[in-house]
Amino acid sequence: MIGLLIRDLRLAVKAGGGFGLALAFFLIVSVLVPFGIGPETGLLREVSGGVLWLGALLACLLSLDRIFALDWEDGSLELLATSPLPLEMVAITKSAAHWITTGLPLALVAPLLGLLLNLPEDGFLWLVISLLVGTPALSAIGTFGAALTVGMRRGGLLLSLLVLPLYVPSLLFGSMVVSNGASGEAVGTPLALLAAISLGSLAILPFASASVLRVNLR
Amino acid sequence: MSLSGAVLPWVTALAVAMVVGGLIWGFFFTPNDFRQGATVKIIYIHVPAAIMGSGTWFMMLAASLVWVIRRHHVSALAAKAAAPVGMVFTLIGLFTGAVWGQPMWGTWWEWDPRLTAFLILFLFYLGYMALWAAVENPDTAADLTAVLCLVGTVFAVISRYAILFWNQGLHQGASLSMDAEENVADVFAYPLWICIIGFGLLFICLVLLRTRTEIRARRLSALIAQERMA
Amino acid sequence: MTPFIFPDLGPYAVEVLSAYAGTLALLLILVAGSVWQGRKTRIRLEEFEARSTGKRQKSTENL
Repeated sequence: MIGLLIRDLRLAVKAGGGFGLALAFFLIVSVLVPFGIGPETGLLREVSGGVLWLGALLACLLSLDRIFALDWEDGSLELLATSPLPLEMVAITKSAAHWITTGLPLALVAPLLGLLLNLPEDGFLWLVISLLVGTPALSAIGTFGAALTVGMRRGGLLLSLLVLPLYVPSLLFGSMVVSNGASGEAVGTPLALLAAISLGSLAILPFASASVLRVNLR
Repeated sequence: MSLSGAVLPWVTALAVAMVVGGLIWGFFFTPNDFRQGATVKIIYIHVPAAIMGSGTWFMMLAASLVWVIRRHHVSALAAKAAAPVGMVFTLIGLFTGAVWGQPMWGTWWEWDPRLTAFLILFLFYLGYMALWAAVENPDTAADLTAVLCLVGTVFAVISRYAILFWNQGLHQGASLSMDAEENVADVFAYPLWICIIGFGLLFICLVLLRTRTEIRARRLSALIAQERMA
Repeated sequence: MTPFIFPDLGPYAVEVLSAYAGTLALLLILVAGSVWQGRKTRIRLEEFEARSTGKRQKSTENL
């Protein structure tokens, strides 16, 4: 399992692995937002928490089809399925690899983008915390979506349609943590719920992902 | 097939009678509301459509469970058949809600918990239907969409509470519950219940019809495949 | 019989009527589409079955 994880991490970081792309996308989206809604500082302060969460979410979304696509194409997914490693573990490992190469870097880079968007001072800590706590859910949910659409030509758009509604609770609670934190309000409940969603997704979705992979590998 | 074929005309007749009857009663023979004026007449479509919009999803959930557990082909096809019906009901709910909301609340849309949850439900329907359409093998499609329905339901429930937490709403509370003080007055309630039941029957008749179509389509493609191999 | 009067919709006539009209239109599309799809499939199936029984009959004729 660790071997699989390391292999995936290595693949992601290699040239063309998409590691930097998610970060670049996050940056671009954050830069584009003021172009779209105007540079007025007051407005940006208000929306920055939510916009950053949204940007991170979209950046995660973009890298989802890579979770299984390469393995599907060269047949290694079938090998993984017949290996002694349970497919559920494969799914969780894939989610972990995705998180380490996407959610984690996004969370660490977010404060810099917070500067661009006039995020209030108190918001920075909560931005990082909420992203660290919330992005594992995005990876687990995304793995499920990727498993559903693995092998489909043009599966990317369908993947987005399926996954984005599932992202709503995490997005709601994540951005609430940031905006509440930035304005000094209570952060405990949304943060706890955000964590619950992440933990629940990691606990349950690998089973769903595995069963769906089995269906697609038939 | 023969049972559904025998039942279908009766259900259809009853559905049409109740929907038409209920709407005519509601539209022509009920008074205007003190606060809402004539817009209260929208309740006769808005509420039944909204109820059936969510009700359909639960039926799809049950059918998906039956497919996952017992692999009854009809249940998978029934879920597939029900989705467009649920989607249209949800769309009607959203549309009539917006048209009702504009004169009453001054806005076409509000990110109120109920409306927002309903909009998400609409997206779930779209995703479900898109997945059926994207997969060629019917058994694979049935399996994938069943799991999607199950997972989607869990997230829909979570979303409902998340949205409630996110924004305490302005949508009216439950008006038809047995005990609430916000009950709709009797003069509106009777035609409303008829419309609700009528829409329910309409749902049944459409799902019966569409499932029969799906079964036939399956049979047809099986026959074609058989012929190709012979 | 009570005399029939079209209800007074007041200032909300547009909203109420468009709500009803839109709903009826959507329901009509759904029902008509379902019926048409059903009819088309049934006819195709019947034609196919008739063709294949026809073929089987023909092939046993020449034995």
